[in-house]
Amino acid sequence: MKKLILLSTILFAQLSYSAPAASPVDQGLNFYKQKNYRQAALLFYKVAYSSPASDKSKLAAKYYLGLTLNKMKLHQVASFPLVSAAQGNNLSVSTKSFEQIVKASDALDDKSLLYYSLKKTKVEDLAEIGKELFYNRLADMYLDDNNPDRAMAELAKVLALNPENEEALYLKGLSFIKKNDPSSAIVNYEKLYKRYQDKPATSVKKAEATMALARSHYNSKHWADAISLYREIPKDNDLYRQAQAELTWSLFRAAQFRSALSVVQSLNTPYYENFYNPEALVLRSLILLFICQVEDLEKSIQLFQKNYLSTLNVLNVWNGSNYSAIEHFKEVEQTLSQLKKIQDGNLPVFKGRLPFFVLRSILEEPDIKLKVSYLNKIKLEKRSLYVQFQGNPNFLKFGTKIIDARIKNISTEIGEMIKSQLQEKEVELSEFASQFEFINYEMLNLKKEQAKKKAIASSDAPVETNQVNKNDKREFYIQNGYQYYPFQGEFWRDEIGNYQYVGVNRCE
Amino acid sequence: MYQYLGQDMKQTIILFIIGCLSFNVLAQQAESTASEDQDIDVVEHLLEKDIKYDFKYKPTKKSILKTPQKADYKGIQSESSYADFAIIQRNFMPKSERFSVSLGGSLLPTDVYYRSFGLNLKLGYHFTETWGVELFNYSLSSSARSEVNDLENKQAVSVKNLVSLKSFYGANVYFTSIYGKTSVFNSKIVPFEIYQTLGVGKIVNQKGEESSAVQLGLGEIFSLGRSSGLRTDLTWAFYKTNNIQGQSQASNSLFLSVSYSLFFPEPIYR
Repeated sequence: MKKLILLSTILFAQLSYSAPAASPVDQGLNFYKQKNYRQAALLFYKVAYSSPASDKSKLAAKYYLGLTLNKMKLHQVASFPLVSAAQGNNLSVSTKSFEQIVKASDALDDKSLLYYSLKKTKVEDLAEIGKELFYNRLADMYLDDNNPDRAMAELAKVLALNPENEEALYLKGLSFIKKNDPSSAIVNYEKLYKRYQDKPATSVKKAEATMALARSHYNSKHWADAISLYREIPKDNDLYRQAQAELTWSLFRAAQFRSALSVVQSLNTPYYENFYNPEALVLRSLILLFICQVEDLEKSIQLFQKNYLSTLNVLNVWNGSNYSAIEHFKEVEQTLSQLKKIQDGNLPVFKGRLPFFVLRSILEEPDIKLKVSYLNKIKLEKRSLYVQFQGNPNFLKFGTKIIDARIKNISTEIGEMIKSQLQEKEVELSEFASQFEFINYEMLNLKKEQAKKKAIASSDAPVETNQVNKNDKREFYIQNGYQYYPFQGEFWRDEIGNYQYVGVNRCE
Repeated sequence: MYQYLGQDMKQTIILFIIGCLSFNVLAQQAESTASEDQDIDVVEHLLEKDIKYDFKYKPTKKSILKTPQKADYKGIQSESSYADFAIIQRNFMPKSERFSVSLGGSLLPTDVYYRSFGLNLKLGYHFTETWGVELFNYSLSSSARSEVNDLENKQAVSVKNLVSLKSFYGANVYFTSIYGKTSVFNSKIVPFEIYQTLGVGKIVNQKGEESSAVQLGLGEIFSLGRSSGLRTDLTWAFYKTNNIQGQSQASNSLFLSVSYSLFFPEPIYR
């Protein structure tokens, strides 16, 4: 009898395990409606991957699993069952799954997932996410594919729905730039620029709109307009350094050499020593050549040789060694950790095999920045997964597998992108090196001419070193609300952007 | 039927059933793992298939030099060209056309036997960065130092302060002669200004007697923010007043003050 009871108990337990509960998807949905997302997710996961349910139920369970995980902000883990559900035969589930995938990819800034889902979705099927978001992302995708005409067609649809959509206006301007039509881009960006006039100076969008308009004016050769717009970018904005570099070029093209030299002086200070910027040194040298300032020109050439020729050599050897993508990624990790130290106010310790300032500048490239941000997001998501699903080893294993696979592939992708960028940097730096050879040749010629003139001139004649403001007293600046400090070889942080070149043209 | 089976047979049947059911569970788990792996592989393949890597680069090997980690801009300029550059920057804490109010403590440090201290309040208006005017008021109290008590108790020598001040108020002309900036622990830049004041006022002694005074001042203001600063000044007042014996006596007092200043309205530029 006891054995009979034991046998019945075992049989009943196994039957309970094997046979699915009455509509577990409905049970999961009940948990979902009660906002008990964890329990809902576990139930859906069980139906989708563990229990012998029908394909239709599994498909639905995968969709609901993705939906629930999206709610729990586990977007990466959500995306995999959603993609699986989207590939199923059920059109309704597919459409809804794609909608959720768009949401997840938008939260993660993952373009590959986004573009995959955009290609498969029809805008008429969208319910939850806005059509404007859909068309904007589609336009973004076409712009990445260098197809501005198709991008503009999608943006026209956004602006038909909402003429004030800021992102669409921005992308439209970008499309005009890609079509080499800067005049139309100016008209477009001016709308955005005017809209942001009331925003505070610290507004990021305001700065971006100002930069976009300034660049459009630069492309149209409206130097004065570009100059005044670049000057509006405040010092505490991330775009300030880039704005100063482009301002220097605008001033140079407008033949305002004194002003150009004033601006480029800020870029060649120890404040920006961790940024790779040989172009600023080239521009500085060209202007010094124009004004026959031989001594400083010689210093600039020496500095280029010291900082950048050795960098060129390192890049050449590194690129020639054909390191794997993962080796490149390890260097990126080193750079990111040192960058964090600098941002926390600590002294960095450079242990990487590649120059820190080169990698740091490469990491600012928009595509790479987005990928790194995505990688950081999924690493955070992994931690969140452990916290939210402690005590559920099966689900943890499932989620961790997804995230680990993504981390591995994204790391490889980033490594490959860095590899490509390093090769481009090497080519670019070689070209700058050739330009410096030319500048060096011209400098030597100039030096020879100046030596001849000096030899011919009277030896008793005093050497004049004039400044344009030699007759101005300090009171002149103070009364106008300014402070004047002579430059004595020291670089102070608060002086960035306030250097003024007051020397004269030495060619006369 | 079960009860007619032998003991061994029954145990074998039970074990067989348990084994089948366990195998069923394990098979389901394996199937779920395989299904998960398949899903993961399919999705990864979808996401990675559009990525193309196109390298047309052909490197040439060279021997490696020391890896520079940052750009070294020291020596970018020759000393002879320093004069070609100047720094012209907006005043961090502008004073032009702004009011100021300062509140702090004051001490008369020159009295050997008596400790005189109190509060000071100053209200000013600055016409330009250089010139301004202000009204001031010092409220003071005196107390004997321990040396006075010792003299009285041990030496039977009585000490009285000739002149004890109660308050000093008046108006100043404010002149900024020097501006500069200093670095604090290599992490923060603090702009400062050195100013001089010249003014007239009234001295009131402990008996309530008033007399006119002229004062000279020297001070420094360190900018803590765009509208606030820490002010230290030394004011030397010259006056005639009646002493404890009722005689008119020329006197002078040195006021050492530390105060916190606020400027308003907000500066017009960022």
